[in-house]
Amino acid sequence: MIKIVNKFTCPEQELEEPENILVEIKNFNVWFNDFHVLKDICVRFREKSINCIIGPSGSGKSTLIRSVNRINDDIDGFIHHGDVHFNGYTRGRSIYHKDIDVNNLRTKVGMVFQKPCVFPKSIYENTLLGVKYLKKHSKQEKLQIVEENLNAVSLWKEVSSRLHEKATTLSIGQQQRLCIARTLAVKPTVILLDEPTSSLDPVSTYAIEKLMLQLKEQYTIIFITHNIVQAKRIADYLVFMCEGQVIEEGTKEKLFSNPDKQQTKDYLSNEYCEC
Amino acid sequence: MNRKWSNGAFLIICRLAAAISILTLVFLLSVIVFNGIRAINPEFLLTRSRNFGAEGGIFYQIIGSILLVFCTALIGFPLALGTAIFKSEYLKNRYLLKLSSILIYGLNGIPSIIFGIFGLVFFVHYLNTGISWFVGSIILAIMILPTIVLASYQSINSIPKIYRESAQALGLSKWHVVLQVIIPQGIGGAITGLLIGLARAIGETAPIMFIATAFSGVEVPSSLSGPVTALPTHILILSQQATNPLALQNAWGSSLILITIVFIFSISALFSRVRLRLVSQR
Repeated sequence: MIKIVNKFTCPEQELEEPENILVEIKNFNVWFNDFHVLKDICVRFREKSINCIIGPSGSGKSTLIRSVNRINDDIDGFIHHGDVHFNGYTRGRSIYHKDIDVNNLRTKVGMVFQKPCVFPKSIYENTLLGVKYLKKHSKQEKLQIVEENLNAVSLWKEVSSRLHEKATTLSIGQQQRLCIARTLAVKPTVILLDEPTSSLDPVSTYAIEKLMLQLKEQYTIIFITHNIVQAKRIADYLVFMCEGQVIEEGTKEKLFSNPDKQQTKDYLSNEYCEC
Repeated sequence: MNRKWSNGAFLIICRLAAAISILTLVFLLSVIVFNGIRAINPEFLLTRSRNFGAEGGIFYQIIGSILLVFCTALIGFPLALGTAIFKSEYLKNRYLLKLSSILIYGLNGIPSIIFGIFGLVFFVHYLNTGISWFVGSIILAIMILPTIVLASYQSINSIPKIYRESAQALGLSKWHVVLQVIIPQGIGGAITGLLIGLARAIGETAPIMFIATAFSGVEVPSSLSGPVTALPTHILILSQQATNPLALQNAWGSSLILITIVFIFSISALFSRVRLRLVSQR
């Protein structure tokens, strides 16, 4: 049965710039029915940088980021305990506090999934799907939003002549960029990406990686990958997870050159992990 | 008995079964077409019936039947779609889900004459509506509700979860997810269910004969109350005068028209299903 362990507290970490922490997860536990998926997670994600989560399959990476925008809430048997703070938005409360408006939270914390999921509507409609109070915008303003966000993902040039065609006619790589554009149109602060390049070809993957490096100027990016080379290319900070626990977190340079834990070293050098 | 022989025998039995079913259908249809076609002419389609249907046409019967199923669709479709959406998107309790399925399948299994009696007792006598075509539409809508609910539910429930999650991740409220994602993608299946249901409803005699129809002397009703004449009940009254060759011929003609309308509904259902499959494959 489920036991909630209250004794565990996160270790106080020495940080050079504590003010740039945007999302802070404290003593966070998740169960699906009685399967303990996340165990006493303590992790911080830094503002305007790429926070990569790495770890073997089944280590709870997806469950963790899906808890940051509460998309897990609707899953049967989801039980959580602990706090997720979103600094500057929740005013010291956890995002799981009863007064938090989930839909509003999700406009601040956007999410892109592993498989691109465009709706069977036009490219134009897909981009505008999440925009609030759409009816109050004029046609010109709507087109401006579409152009701005498709430009941000370098898709505008490719699709500007066929905005009213079905989004399903785009290639998979284009669809994934459209999904990112659709997320950007909602004007989030944080963008969660759950292995967004794992179903893409190398060229599209490169395009998305380049895009991430541009986007981090404005957004806080939390990026799951199980491709260590990819993490090395784009990450600023790394979080290494294994079997529902955070083994180590820190800057990319530290984890790759001088990790504290042996498991981190093993995983980053051999993709092998015994936790 | 060697394997080759038993294989051959099995094949023959299957072919025979298929041949018997198809021939029965072809025979039935060809008898109706062959006998019915002789009755069909512009006068038959466009004039009112005289002498209890033995003479004249079936104009008001066609109008009555179409009016009945049109209203049935208007009443049944939103109810069924709402039920399917509630069952798929909002109902999370496993026992209630099971119970709702049992109730829907149960409703589907009720013989149509029971609906007729229910309409007579509840609407016509208890609520004192009198014989009313609108009550007939309500009863037909209740009768075909399970068909539409099941088709809509299947279509909505088969939308992959990722669509719901992607829409929710954009901050769309549940209501907007239903409106923007669930309904546009599930509507095709729901319409298929509606057309199959209507094809059944338009051919039903038992549920409407006590509560919604009169046998002759009725035109287009001017209000919600008052009877209509409908094709199935007209065929019933004509077949009761089968000794009169004119009446019999008109019965065949009416049957052909009814089957044609049912056929149109079924073909539309088939096409909407094919179109739906093409959309989902894209």
